[in-house]
Amino acid sequence: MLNTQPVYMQLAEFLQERINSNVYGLGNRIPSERELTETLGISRMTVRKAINVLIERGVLIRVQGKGTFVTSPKLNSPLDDGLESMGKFIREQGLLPSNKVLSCEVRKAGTKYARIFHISPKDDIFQLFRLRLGNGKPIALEYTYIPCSIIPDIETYNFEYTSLYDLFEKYEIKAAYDYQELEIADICNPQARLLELEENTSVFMLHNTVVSENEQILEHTKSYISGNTVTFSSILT
Amino acid sequence: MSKYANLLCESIKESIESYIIENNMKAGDFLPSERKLSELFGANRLTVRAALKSLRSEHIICTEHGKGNFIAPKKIVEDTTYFLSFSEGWTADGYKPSSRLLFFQTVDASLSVSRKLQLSLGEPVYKLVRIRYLDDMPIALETSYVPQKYCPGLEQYDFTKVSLYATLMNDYKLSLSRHDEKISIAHLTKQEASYLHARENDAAYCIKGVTYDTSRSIEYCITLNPADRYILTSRLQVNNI
Repeated sequence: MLNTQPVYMQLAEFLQERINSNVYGLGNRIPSERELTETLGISRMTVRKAINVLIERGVLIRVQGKGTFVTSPKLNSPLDDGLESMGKFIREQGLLPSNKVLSCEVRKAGTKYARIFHISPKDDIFQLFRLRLGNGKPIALEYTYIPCSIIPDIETYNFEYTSLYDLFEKYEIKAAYDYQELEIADICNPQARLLELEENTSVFMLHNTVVSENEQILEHTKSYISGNTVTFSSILT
Repeated sequence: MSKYANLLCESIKESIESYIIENNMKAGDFLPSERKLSELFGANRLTVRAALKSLRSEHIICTEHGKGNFIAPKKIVEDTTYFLSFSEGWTADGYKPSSRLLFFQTVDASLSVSRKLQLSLGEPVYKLVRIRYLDDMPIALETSYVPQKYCPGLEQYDFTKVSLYATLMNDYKLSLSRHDEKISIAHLTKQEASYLHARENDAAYCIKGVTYDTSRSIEYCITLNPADRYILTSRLQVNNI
């Protein structure tokens, strides 16, 4: 049966299929325009048109000098689930959030994190250091730790364009609550330099622990937050 | 900036924290010297020094000149999820709360106070300033403003002995049901530092909160808690909409 759709639409659907079936994973780069042109025998312009369709849908994002990446429409929407508080915090200030990954790797939990996650010091955890930006300016420096048992292939994702909470959703991991500890610290280098602050500036340091319904510790993040005010609302008992 | 340097400092910090856990170290215990720590972790002294500096800035360790680094006293943890009066909240944790009165008079509401309490500029408000202690250690400097019209006669109470919230609820029949807070970072003035046994310019949490009775603002409170002694915690339930 002949497909009578315009070629660029057929290509868009083809790429969408590959994204849906995770051949092109969330946060990963799709083949370049040239690669697609060569392998599929379609003109460059048609390829570009197809990619634009998916960018419109919020499924792809083009990054200058780096390529085109698979994203999630949710990342660009003003609506946030309750846990993505840093992105929400940045948006609430009228700033466009973005991330810079400083380091990410799988490593052994060790004593400190074995205690936090209630796992063995020999178990693997994923460590992600990111700079959270608003309109390109550093807002927060985050150190995130997740046990690999929660998301086994976690190191394959590109966290510049993937949100952790999209991943939790994808794997149907349900968080029950967040436990937060707020402290004030006088920031030192290299953290100060990354946040573009003078050494010894007082900043908020937030420890956030995400817990599942059966009390499993899903994630622990330590953030140094530049900027001054936090809001809490609480209920009087 | 080398990511590697950042990673290294963080990893030595973690090693020191793990060492503290493994050796069951308590407040006041001294850490091994910088040199011993370098040997122990196979790291160079500069990295160890940077890690110790960072742990100090996070109030995990303290330094005594000539003596070395020791584990800092345990911080007071205030759970902000549920709002309780000072005496109620702390007695439950086994601390002995007490207060010292610095000021208690009716004043004219300033611009910021009138805004927070939904009053006209200059309306009479009670202003109550107290130092709060836990086990005789000062942990807060609190200034509360309550509109006089909601609680005439408040001046007869001794708020070093009774709770302001209990009095407003029980004696004045106000139903305090919601509390909003904004927390920012402040640096203590000389006067504030002396009340709190801290140093001038030390960092502190500046918590500005309003307590409501349905839609009316009943109390506006400004609290200063020294940063080195305090952690604020909160538990956020996830809303599944």
